[in-house]
Amino acid sequence: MKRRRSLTIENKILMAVVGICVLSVLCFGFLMLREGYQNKLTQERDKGKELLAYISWDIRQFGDDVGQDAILEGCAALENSGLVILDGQGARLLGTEQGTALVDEGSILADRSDNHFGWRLCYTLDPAEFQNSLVEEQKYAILATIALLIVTIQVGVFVSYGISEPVRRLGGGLRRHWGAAPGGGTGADPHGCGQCGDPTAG
Amino acid sequence: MNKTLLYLIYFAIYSAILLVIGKSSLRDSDSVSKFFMCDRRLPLWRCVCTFVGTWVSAASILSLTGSVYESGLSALTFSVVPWFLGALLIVLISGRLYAAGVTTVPELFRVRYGSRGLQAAYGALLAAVYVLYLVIQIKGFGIVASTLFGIPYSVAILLVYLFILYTSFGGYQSVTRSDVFNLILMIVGLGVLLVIVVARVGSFGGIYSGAAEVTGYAHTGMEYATKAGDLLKPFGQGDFAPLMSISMFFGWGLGLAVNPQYAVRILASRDARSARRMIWISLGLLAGIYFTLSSIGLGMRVLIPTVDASLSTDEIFTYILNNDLYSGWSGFLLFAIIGACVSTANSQLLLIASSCSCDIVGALWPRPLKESTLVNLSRGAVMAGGTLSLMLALSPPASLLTYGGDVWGVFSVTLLAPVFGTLLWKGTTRTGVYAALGSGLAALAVFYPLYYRGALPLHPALPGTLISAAALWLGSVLSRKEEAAA
Repeated sequence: MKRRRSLTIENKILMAVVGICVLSVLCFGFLMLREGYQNKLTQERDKGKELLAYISWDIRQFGDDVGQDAILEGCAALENSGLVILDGQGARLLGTEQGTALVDEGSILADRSDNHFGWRLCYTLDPAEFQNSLVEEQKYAILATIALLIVTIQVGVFVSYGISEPVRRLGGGLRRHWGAAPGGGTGADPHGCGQCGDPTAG
Repeated sequence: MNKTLLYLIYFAIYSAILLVIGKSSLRDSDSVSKFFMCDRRLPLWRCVCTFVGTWVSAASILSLTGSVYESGLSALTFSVVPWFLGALLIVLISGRLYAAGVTTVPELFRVRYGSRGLQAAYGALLAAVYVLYLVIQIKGFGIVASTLFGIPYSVAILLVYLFILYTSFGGYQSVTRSDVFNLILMIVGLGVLLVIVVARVGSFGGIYSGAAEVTGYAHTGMEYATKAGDLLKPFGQGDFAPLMSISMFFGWGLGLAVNPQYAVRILASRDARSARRMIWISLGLLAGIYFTLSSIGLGMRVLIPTVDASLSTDEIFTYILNNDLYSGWSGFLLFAIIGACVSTANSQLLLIASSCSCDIVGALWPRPLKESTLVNLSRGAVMAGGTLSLMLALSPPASLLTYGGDVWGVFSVTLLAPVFGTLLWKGTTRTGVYAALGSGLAALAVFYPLYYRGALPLHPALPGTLISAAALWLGSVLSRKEEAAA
């Protein structure tokens, strides 16, 4: 006994319609998210560069007068968890252990060493925290993308059903007609595949 | 993993499953009988799932559990006890209702009295009541979705469109299949939550012994404080005072007894015996679900005697689930609540559809309409009813539990006497039914405003139902000879 093919006209239409629409929505969603990601990354990088430039300027202008400790105290007062300051040998002067680990891993958004203390100023990025805040900021976009995907598929389902239903009915009519004709038993389904007279069977 | 991201993944999976269910059901809904009743071919287990799935709504999960948290077991006397008593009355009429062989409840009046006017009038009434009741499901969905994604309620309720319209378009087949899925989700979710609560309290008995000792305000927005032992008393304060709770039987209980959403499930069963078995098995399952829900509500109160936020009753459950009791399961549990809202909402949308297409248009249209036209009209009614409810849900009622009782009370007052009279008393006449409907509507117009102004210390469905029943009897007695002669 031959297996009935499951790819009916309805499913073929559905796959085509949904395939194109879903791809478009996914591309749209991906571009939106990518844009959001890039913007946030650029913002963070600019923020880091600005902060490091400000600290470097402070060191240049007041470093010799107030001393290293006062500069470090001033930086600590900023309470910025992304800021890490290392001395010439790579020892941590300011920042958390996690920040130092991020420096070692290379998760650095900006760094500069153009100061006469020989310090390396780093602005790090915690990928997990960044991802969390990105999701929070982009949740409307993600939700809208998922909702759009659902609507697209639902519309695809209705369109494919709407197109194939009349064809299916026509097929049903033909089957009944052949079945009623003299010797209809063999004429209705000469191949014995159960699909004759059902144009939607594909 | 990030909480929002986890919830979004749950959302995507839940949506995908409902999409598959809807797609697979669309072909089985090309005639009125298939669209509204699956040709009366559903197996018993699916009938049970759709009965229970439709029964357990946002009012049960959010409002009842929130009320148990606030006021204890007195919330059960106000709602669950009347529901079960009402369900026993359904058993009384199930055999005769099934034998009537109608598709909708209003059709019963046309079959029995040959009155298209009665059918259309009740069709309009049913559609209006279900539009109002659907607000409960949409509000429940909105509360959960806004908790899940941290978005405003008004935006969250728009998401309900994604599920309820699609699953309703596929007719009863689609509704029952999604009910099976949502019920499984809910039972697993509630089971897991009960285990979590029991584990945190220490023992199952600890929930009840701990609840007896709870004192103080449930949350900062609460009007009265709980005294030791209050949570285990059968009656409480405010809405749960003895007179209001007992008279609520006429709202929740009798409203449920004559509710078309259960009548349709009886009519769609394979035979009268299956219909009766469906009711009994469902009641057993529901007893387990309500025991679980009330234990969870009490357990939450034992664990967190006071929530440090000003919340409405309906928001307590999701708030605690998403904050004090947050775990990796929270997303699953919140989607179980969404499932409960969806499974009740799509059943009710289908009733709005049958009321509009079969009862109003079908009865009043001068010539018989094609089956495909009626099915398409029904889909249009689903869309219109859903949209109307969505608009009403923008300013939702304060407590779903009391609001639901008030809406169901409309059924008690207008439909109980006519349906029970028609099925159980041969002396009922068309005039009697008209009299019951007219007097019922008049009673609603008089008693509901008094009740909302606080001038009526009992539920308005009590006097309304008695007046309607008296009008049915009087109208029938006076018109019996005249109608028999005609």
